[in-house]
Amino acid sequence: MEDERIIGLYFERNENAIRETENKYGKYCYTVAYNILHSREDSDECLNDTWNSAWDAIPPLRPKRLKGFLARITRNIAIDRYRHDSAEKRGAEAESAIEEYWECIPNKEASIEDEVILKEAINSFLAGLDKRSRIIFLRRYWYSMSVRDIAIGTRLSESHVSVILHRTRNKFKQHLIKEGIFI
Amino acid sequence: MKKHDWYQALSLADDKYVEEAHPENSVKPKGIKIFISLAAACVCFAMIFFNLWLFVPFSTTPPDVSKHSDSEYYGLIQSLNLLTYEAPQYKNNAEKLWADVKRFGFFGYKDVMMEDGTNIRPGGSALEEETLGYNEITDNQVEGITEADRIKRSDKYIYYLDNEVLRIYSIEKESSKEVGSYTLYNENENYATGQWEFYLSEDCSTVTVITENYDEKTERRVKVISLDVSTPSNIVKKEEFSVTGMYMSSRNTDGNILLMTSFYIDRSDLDFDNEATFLPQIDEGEGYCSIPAGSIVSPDNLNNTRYTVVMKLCEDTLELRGTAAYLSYSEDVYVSEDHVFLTCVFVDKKENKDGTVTRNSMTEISCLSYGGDNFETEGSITVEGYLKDQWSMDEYEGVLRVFTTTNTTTVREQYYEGGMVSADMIVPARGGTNASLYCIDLSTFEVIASVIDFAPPGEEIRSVRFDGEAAYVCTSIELSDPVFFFDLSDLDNISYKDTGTIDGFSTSLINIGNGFLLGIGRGDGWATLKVEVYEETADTVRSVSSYENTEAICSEEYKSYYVDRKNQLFGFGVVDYDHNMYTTYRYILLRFDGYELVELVNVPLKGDPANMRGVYIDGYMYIFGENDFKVEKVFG
Repeated sequence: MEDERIIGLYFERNENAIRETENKYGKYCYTVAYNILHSREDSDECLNDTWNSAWDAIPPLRPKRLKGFLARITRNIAIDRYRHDSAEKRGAEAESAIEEYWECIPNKEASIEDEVILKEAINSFLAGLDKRSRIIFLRRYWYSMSVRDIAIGTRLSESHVSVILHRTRNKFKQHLIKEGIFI
Repeated sequence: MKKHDWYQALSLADDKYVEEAHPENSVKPKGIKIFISLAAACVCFAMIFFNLWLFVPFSTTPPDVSKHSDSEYYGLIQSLNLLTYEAPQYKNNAEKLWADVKRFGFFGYKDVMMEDGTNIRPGGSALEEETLGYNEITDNQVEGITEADRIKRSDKYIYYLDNEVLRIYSIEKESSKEVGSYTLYNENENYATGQWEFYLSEDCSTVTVITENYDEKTERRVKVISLDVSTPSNIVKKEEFSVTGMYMSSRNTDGNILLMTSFYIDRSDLDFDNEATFLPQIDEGEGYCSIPAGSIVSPDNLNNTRYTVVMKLCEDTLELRGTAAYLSYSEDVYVSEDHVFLTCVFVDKKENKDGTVTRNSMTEISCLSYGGDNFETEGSITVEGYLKDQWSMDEYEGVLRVFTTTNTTTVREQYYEGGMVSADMIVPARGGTNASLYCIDLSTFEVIASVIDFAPPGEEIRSVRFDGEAAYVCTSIELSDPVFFFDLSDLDNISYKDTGTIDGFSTSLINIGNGFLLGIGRGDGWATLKVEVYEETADTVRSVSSYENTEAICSEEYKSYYVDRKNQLFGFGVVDYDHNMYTTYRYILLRFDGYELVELVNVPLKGDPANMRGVYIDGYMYIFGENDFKVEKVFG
């Protein structure tokens, strides 16, 4: 079903909207959740929360890209769930991704105050990257994929992926400083 | 927990980037650029090395033998080194490669002459090697120009045209057998019995037979029939092409068959309302039609009513690709790599003051190029004398070399009332016959060198063979002959030497390599078969070995001789003569071991020796006669 039609169902408050969304993007969102949570049960629950969140958000929101919208909700919910899980339940892969990403943040004490400015900073940074680096960066820190899986998907060696990630993180850090986000 | 917040904040990334990075999307590795760069660098280096390989000139000096300077044989070593050194044929690899490309052709095949003189085609190999593909066994006159024959072979089968029946035999030593056959004409069809030869395509899937038959009005016509022989047990007719007239010769080059025929205008039947009575008719499968007017070349002074028709047919489809019909009589056809040469013999008469008439045999040689779709007339020249056969001509580096028998007679012509010359009154002129060589520059069609009357008076040419800058000629008067070796490397200074008078004469001369020449012909009697090997020495030509059979003769058809230069094997059919009738037919295989000719096979075989064929494969001789097939173990 077309995304427009699915969104229309949401606006009609037709519960088939959730069924159609699950049919079309269930697998995709599950992958996003599972990469962070590494638990089938938790991922299923995360997806249920995603569908409910979408039901609550649409309307009034009318997402331009339903897929990205749902993925973003899933990721946020998964990270929320992840941070509240006990240490032993956490996926080692997500943990290492979060730790790596944390290295990029220049001022560890700063808090996110203006999402609009941060969004602009993130997207301008991504726009300035070459395509391959951008894909690797987002697969690692957005999709929380393991370095090994990224290497297989991009037909590069794991060490090569690690080097690209390291350089991109440094660039990201410099970019955030340059944008004055943490000053 | 701030780190999780920050990590979560990456969700603010634009959907387009998120979707782009989706794990299911494939990513072209950047490494491919590096790979391409490396590949490009490799190609550049390869090109540099390739160019060096192409253009670095070959060494033209004999190998250094100075390390043997202490040897007491050093003088001999140096002499042998100079004698045995073969200077490279080409300046560099580029020239060699280009020559190979020309020889093989881009889209077709051409025969390749191995160092030992064996003809093979690309994909094939010399003689018995078990490789796939075509193996040429006909002793073609010109390298790369295949001649039709009664026998051809692939690596698996031997194809033999037993008159109207094409027979295919497996190559399995003693177990060889006929695996397929095809009868070209039905019983009620009237075909000419003497004309049977064919080509085998490069991929060995098609046989193209050239025959002659008669139509309902008993008009003679040349018929070309292609057969699909890819499954020997199920041979299927593919295409057919006919042209009215008689078959002269044909060649196969670059997947095209050059077909030369003649067409005679019968003055008694001439009817200008009926084109078939004065124009050659061509049938490509849709009925006969006259040869196009644009293809007819008529001389200014038309003096005969006979056409020589030259056609180019696609071997695969028998589609007619080019035609030229010359309204003139032709005897012999010689096809070089680029040209077709047609000869026309006529008599030049000169009236003398004493009332006698001197008649000289003259030959006009016309040259056509056949490279494009159309035949182009390049020029013509007239030389004194007549030619023995196609082997009397040879094109080499833009020069046509021709050996002729000059023939002069002086007569006091007296006429009967009907205008006929009385033969009784012909008086032979002084000198009679002799032999001459003419070298003709094909850019100007002028004689640039000649050797006139080089033979003893009264001799006539019996056989000629050219081999690059050398030529071998046998002349004879009655039953004694000299064999001449000509050095044509310097046309301003042509030299030759001969055997002196020896018994018999050769009707065919064959260069068998290693400096030896094989002569096949007659011995000291007209019914004595003689095969002789000659060798050139410093100042003469000597006979090395000879093999004779009394009361026996062999065919003069050069295609019936099996010539295997690699193994020094020579086969031919023989008919024994018992003063009353021809009784026994045999096939003989000889081997020259460097010292003498040794008979290896001598077996009865049915049929005319001219139609007998043989081929040596992997220790066995496969021999074919009229409805007769034999396999003889030769070695091993």
